[in-house]
Amino acid sequence: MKLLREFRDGWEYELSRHEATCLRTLIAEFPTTPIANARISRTESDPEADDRERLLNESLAGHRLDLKCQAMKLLASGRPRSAPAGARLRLNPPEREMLLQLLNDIRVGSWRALGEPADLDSKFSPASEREMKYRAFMDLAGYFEFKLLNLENGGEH
Amino acid sequence: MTRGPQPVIAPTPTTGDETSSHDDLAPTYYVICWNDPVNLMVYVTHVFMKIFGWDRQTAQEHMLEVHERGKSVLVRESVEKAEFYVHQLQGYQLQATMEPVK
Repeated sequence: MKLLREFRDGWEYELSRHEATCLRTLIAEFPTTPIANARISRTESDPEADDRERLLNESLAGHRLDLKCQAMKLLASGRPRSAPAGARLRLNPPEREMLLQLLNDIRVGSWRALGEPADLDSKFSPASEREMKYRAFMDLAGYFEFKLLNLENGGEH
Repeated sequence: MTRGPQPVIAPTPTTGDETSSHDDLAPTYYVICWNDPVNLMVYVTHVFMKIFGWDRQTAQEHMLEVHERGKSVLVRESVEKAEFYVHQLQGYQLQATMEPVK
């Protein structure tokens, strides 16, 4: 995946066919994990904090639905679109922000599904097909996040 | 150790009135981001820049503080603003909480 062009209102990326297939799969399968109960405080435990936590979790659930709608719109628009050398993906800033959030939701959700391992660098030996799937989702989501952000920061221009 | 950034303290408006306003007595909260092994460093930096409007250097300082010290106090705010920031940060899947200023 590499940045082809930068426009005033967005970016165009070139992807290999394999990258395009993986990205479409990730987007289509979002959300890959159930939403986790989020905590709003690590020290407070009173009724007001409970209310705030309930609101936070409602807000996050709504946000996830919104991400899903936007992701479906992205796929419905035919992106990434096939090209002679693989595929092209054009994104405006809100779309790229949505894609980053969606990918990171997949990455963090998959990490939780794997039991929140502390060491992600050691050799991974999957104990089941389920573990293999979540590890693949986590790594792929991280790959695309890094590409999107590293390109933004001039890493591969 | 001087590498870590200090908490950003929002300026308190002055009214020229010597009596304390309600806002002076209102509780304030630290918005804290906690370390985890899964969020990418470039992603955390990006999120801080996006949500707080910080330049890259400030965002990276806070990201490194999270990474190296386990947490970083991002801002000190009223309950409403602290809630807003926690919602935003958790929407990006960062482990953020609001803790009362003692």
